[in-house]
Amino acid sequence: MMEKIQLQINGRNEILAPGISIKKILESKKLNPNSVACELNLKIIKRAELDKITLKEGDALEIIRMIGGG
Amino acid sequence: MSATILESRNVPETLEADSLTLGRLRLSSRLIIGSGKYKTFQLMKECIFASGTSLVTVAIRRINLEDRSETSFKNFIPHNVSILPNTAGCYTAHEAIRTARLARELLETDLIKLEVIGDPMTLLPDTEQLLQATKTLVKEGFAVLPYTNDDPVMAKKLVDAGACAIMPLAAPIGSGQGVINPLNIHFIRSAVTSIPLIIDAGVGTSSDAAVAMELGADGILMNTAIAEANNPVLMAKAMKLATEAGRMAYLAGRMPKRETASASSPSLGKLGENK
Repeated sequence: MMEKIQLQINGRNEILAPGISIKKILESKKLNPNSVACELNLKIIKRAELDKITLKEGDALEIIRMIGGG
Repeated sequence: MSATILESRNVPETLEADSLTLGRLRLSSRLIIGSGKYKTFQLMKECIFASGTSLVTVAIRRINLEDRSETSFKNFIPHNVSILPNTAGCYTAHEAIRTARLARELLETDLIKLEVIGDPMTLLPDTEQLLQATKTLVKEGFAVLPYTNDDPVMAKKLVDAGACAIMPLAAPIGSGQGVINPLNIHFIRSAVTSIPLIIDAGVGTSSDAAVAMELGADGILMNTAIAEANNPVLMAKAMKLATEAGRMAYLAGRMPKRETASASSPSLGKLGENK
């Protein structure tokens, strides 16, 4: 059986296959990388790095976007 | 309010030449509007057009992975309008800095409307945390626009910290009270001459915007006054005109106030006068 990793995305627990990149996560959630910004364990991940960074057990990923505000 | 300020005003030859510069951004309109609280995104878009603004504030939030209805928001911001991200909802310098960095990565802009709130009831700023966050973000190359109290002393500290504009409140956010302390805004205007002064938050109607501009503000930022008007598009237009009118009146220099009347018509040559 393939090993799984547990991590948090926007504060919610998710169980994923090990070695998955942030870009793959965005694709799986149908998110355009140009419409979001990502932070992994409090560090900003540049768009160009999204396919190079893979996730591991216990990571905390934040995916943010802009919304109406004053 | 004083003759010294009057004399230092440079009146541009045309209103078109009277633009506002924030960081590297040159804005044709002195009215900045928020994008929150509109009943629909379409209504927000119509208000943006009606206001004539060239800069719109947005908030930075986690994407909702279950409900994507908000993802179309971006499509309703006209392409010729620049975006000013905010750090609304942050209560510490740490949170605000983190949000500012994400905003820069997301929107590829160095501009940040820096909010560090100190109290959920009044939404008044925590100026100690604000100053700390301003210093850090300026070092990181941000063009920082701090939302601050109507406090001339703090305004000077924020200028010294390298802010690119000072944004004191007219009144608490969303209160619609208008400029509650015009004297302090006048003091801030006198103290802050090297960077723009933008009145941020608290105006309720067009006369409030005009008052803020007549006090010498370089610009005004508002959201609720437009979004919560009965007819937001009409109010957006009213705010555009009031901002322009207040600016022109400031440049024109108002007449002095007198305690007695001063007749506008000649006192000589009236009918029935016997010489």
